[in-house]
Amino acid sequence: MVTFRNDSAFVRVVLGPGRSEERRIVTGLSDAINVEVVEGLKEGDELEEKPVKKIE
Amino acid sequence: MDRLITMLGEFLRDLRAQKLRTFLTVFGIVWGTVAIVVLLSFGMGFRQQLTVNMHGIGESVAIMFPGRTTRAWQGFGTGRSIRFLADDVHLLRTQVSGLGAVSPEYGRFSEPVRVGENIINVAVSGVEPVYGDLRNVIPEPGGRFVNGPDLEHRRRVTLIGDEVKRLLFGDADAVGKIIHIGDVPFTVVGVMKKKTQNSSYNRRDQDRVFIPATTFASVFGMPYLTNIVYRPADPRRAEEVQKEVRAVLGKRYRFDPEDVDAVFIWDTSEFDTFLFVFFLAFNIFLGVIGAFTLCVGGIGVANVMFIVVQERMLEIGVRRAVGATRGSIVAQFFMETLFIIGLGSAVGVLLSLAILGGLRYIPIREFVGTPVLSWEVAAATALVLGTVALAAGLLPARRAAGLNVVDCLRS
Repeated sequence: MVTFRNDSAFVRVVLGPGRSEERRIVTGLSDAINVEVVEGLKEGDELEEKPVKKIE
Repeated sequence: MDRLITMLGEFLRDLRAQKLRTFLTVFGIVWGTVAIVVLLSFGMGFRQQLTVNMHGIGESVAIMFPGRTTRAWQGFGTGRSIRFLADDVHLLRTQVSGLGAVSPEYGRFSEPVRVGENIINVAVSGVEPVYGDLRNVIPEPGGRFVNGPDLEHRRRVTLIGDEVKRLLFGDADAVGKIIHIGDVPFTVVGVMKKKTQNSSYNRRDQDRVFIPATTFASVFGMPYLTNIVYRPADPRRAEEVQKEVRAVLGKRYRFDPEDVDAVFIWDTSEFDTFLFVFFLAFNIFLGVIGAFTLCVGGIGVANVMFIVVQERMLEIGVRRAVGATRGSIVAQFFMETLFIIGLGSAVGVLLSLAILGGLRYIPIREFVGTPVLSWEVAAATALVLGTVALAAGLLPARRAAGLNVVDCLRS
């Protein structure tokens, strides 16, 4: 769900039906499965899964 | 409009009068339409499936393996092994301009992997995050591939192939569980989505586990990479990029850039070129078969129309005598042919759709795919049908119009 790019982490936050925006977050501790979000999200924000790539 | 309705009425009357003959003529067109639509759809579906199978190893990626020099160069003799180090990847990334993405790959061909009492031997690969995209190793939803922080912190995490998952975990969930690779515990962060892969090196991806390259280097202590995977930014420039890669590595390891044995590069984009040419020929072949079948149907229609013209000589004569133009005679017979062919092709298309729908349930998808009724197929069919209709309609109609009025009346 989290995208790591150039030392920063991003997630896509759902804004409404069919709309979402990419937001930068600051991550804290992680055990590789779960990751602590220190900054950038508030309680109750819904996140979008990454689309699954299809081979064609 | 009135004339059209009259013609339609005449046509239907004709149909009723000659049931068997009409059925056989229409059937010729139905058969031809089915042949061309089903054959071409099959060809398109086959191409699509084969492309997917071939892309199981990645889309236009090249995989380079270490080799031995076979040419003397700058005072060095032949037969020197050229081997890759981890920082060669960085070198390529910065020095080769046409490179889109590149990942190192460390490999162990067979390592025991254990969960509880289940032990299997699998291939272990140490890779970078971009490898997943390059080689189409796609995690199932709910999991992920190796990522940047994994690499940075040398985490002991792994994405496992779907076959490995099945053998170790069965139907149970694997993500979050611990597996032991050798004696080292790793957390499963993802399971590969099932895919078909019809070419491979070092086992198929379903039988492999992937871990971060940095972790691999420290756990197994192997200095050399087994291979490097890259994708050119522009697949059409694959050959130039290959030359650049050889030049850059040749400078570092002192070998002749023309010495293709020093570094073996397997360019999978050659598949795509091959597939394109092969299926172009294959589909033309299928199309021609379909078109001939349809032409035979068309000849049938034209023959029947010639007979109809013969039968209606008197009618044509009377009509011409009372002032009908040649044009209206042509239109009458031409429209009648179009009705027959229109009816036949409509039934044919419906029948083809039914056949294509039925084919979906035959489990041959992995090998030849499911037929696809694409716009190319529709366009080709329409083109052939149009040509056949024009030829089969115009010839008898012109014959009818060209008849001598007196001869007609005399008959």
